[in-house]
Amino acid sequence: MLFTDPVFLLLLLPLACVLFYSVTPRFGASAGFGLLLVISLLFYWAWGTFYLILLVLSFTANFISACALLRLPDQRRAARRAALTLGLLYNFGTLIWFKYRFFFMSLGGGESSFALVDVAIPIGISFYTFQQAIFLVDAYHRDAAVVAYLGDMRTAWGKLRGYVHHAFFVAFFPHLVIGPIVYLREFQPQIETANFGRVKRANLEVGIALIVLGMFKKVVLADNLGPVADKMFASVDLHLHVPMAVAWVGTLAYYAQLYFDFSGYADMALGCARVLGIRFPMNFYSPLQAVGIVDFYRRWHITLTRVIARFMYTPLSVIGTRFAVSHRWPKWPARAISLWLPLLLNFVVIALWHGARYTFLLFGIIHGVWYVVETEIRAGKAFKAWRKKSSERLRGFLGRTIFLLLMAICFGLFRSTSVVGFGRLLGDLFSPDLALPHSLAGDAGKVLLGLAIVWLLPNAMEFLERYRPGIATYDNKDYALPRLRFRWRPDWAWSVVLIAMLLGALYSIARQPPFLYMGF
Amino acid sequence: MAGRNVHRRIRPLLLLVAAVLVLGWAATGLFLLVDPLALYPWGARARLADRQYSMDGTPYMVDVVTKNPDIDTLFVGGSTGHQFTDRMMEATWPRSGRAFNLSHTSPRPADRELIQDKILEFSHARRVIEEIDWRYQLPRAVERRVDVTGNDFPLFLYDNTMWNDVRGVGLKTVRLSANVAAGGPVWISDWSDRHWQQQDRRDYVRFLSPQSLATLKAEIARHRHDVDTPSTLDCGRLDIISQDLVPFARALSHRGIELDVIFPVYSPALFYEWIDRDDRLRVNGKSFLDDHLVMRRCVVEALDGIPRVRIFGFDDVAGLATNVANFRDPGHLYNAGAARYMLESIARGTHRLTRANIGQELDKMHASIVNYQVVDGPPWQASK
Repeated sequence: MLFTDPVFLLLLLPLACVLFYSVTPRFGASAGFGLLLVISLLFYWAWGTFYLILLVLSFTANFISACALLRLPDQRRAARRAALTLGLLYNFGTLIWFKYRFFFMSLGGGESSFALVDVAIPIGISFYTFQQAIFLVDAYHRDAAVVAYLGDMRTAWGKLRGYVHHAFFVAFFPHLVIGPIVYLREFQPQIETANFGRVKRANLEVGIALIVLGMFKKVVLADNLGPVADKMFASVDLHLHVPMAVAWVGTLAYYAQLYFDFSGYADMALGCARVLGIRFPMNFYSPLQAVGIVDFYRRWHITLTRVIARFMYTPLSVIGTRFAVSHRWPKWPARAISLWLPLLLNFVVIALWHGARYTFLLFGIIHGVWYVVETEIRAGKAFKAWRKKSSERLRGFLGRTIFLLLMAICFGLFRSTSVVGFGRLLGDLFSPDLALPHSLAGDAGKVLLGLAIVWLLPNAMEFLERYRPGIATYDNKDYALPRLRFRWRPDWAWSVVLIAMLLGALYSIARQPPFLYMGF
Repeated sequence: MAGRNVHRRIRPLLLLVAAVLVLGWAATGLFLLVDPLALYPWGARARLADRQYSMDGTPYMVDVVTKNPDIDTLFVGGSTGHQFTDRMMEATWPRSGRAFNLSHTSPRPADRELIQDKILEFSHARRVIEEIDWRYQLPRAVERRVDVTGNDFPLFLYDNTMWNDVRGVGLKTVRLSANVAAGGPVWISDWSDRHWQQQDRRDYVRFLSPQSLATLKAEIARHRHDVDTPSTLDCGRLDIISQDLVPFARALSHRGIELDVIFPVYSPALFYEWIDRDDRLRVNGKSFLDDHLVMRRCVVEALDGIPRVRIFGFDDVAGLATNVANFRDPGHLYNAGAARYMLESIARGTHRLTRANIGQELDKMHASIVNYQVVDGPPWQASK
């Protein structure tokens, strides 16, 4: 089921709220979790029984592994490592089987085989796999949040309660399908508060505001930009030449569409959790306003980036640094092994997480190289000297312009169905064909409007800043125009604005393409 | 003090959202219980209005029409097929029951497939007329995936998941439900064909303006050298024909239902104009004409010989396709007399395309298009 599905909005979500707030104060948090777990499984079941079974198997296997990790004493290190390895093998084994098997099967079979890749990927598997892998690593380290959250599991009742808690954490519908990937240490303290499970009107209001903003982004903005991008990319797929202006409008349309689509989902996810009194980590913070790729990755799909950085970049960088120091390597080779290589691998993994395509692989390599180059430039003396002399506004303008052009092209690669197709797109983007077809004005107008919203207005997190809509991972700068830094209050004026946006979104909801990130 | 307390009690956003929720529930309940679109077993047998449904309404009428045992003749097509009104069809086959035109704007393979499935599952029709337009020359997968034309066909109403039907709840369906609940027909004023007719008339006048015709002539002159670009298509790649059309034709034939397939009449100017129309880029640009001719040949080769299936083309009617005065734009015929003539020809069995004559007919069509000079004479009349 989609968040934009009227059945979800009109029935399942209100039902979840009413039941959760009726049951939890009387019977405790575990009963509330059990109830939300059932609702979450119903929510997920809409995609098919097989996927549901897979999800249940997944959280059951991980629960067993977590129990073993917590129960085995530290002295039995080998057994604990085996339990962790088995759990991780199950997680990544199923992920690889469902997501990458065709890639391996088709190696040597040419790019056409990749059409098969999208066929049978269980919805949300990339997200719940990562979520549980982190959970197991935390359990291995006896993280206090994991121990407290699963509780005393010495009795059968305790085990059942622990199982329900774990299953709920994994399957909780707001983050099950497209994230955000939540750390238990962000989640667990919230359920310990005295007011957890009790109706708090501010939670309802902020949650509803986030749901409306997200739905508007998805249904009104992203879904109107989608056809502009689809039209251009379909032409490229059909080996048709498109004029330069059409190619740029189509590429920028996809760039804005992907942002509105994915961040719209993230806002709705935060909103759905918040109406139930739970605060999730922010996943987006105006990434398209970034002044460079380093800044971008502090703002785009934040919860995935931080997981890969924590479990991949940081350990690799530490190993590389230790190796370089112990072998007394000179400066540049040492930087290469301690910084560049881990960064490159980090981005390749992030890219391949989206799926097994050569376009994603190339996207990851380009981002890795770009990140390394930008890091080195920013650390260089020349840049630091220029930074002292130049104004922040000039730096911001230049950074944003360069970033926009490069990132839009990168997302053109991300959207292309093949590397060869991307080559054709590049040819069109820089072709000397300056024709301006009839319908370009309308399409360009949509894209400009979308980008103006992105660049000039505050993002949902800034807009709702007074009510702490999400947990911040990074301390990001606010780039919105000072005059347009609106801040929301639950008064009549803003309520009417939100209801107008809600009605606008509901009016368009019949045309309901899926969220783009469901494909990953 | 009392004012502050009141302010604290009233939470405007929660109040407004609650109102939207209650309205949403009421509208959904009404729509599901009344079932004006005959989607469920409990829906009352819906009565058709005695009017011409516009293409805004026909996408919602699939179940209503196919489950109606009084409907004897069905027309399935796109915007080019909408000119064949129900009354025209009933006049052409007077001894049959009611006719209904299910044509709608820019049908995709998924829409057509659904209508075909519904016809096979429910319909009592004894004759189906299916129009084969230029979309049949596109790859099925691309046509399925890309929704360039802003197609609003409500596929979600017709899938097997009742939950999805809630997406159909809106102002129009609520009005429709209220109308049917009050004993009225399945009809709302938004579905009247009148505004489409007015729009068509305006398009016709605009199309025939000197400025528009001058642009068209310039376009034709500009593409005279590349309109005849050879196609790279072959019948094997035209999978909408092999996967949708042929199985449908065979299934109808097996049940003893007559299927008449017609190709719409396009102005030759269309094949010049669409070479670089950016919103039609899904069509293969310069080879659009040749692709289209390949598609027509493949349709005839695939269908001719199946019992009770006939194929018709009217591009050879003198003064019809070549005269811009018969069109409201190069892709849409605007001549009720011609539409009537085409239906009568189908009834008589003239203008048939077969394996034996398709090569010759396509050669004539090709020559007529590549040598085309704009003709703007008096509109075509059957008495000619």
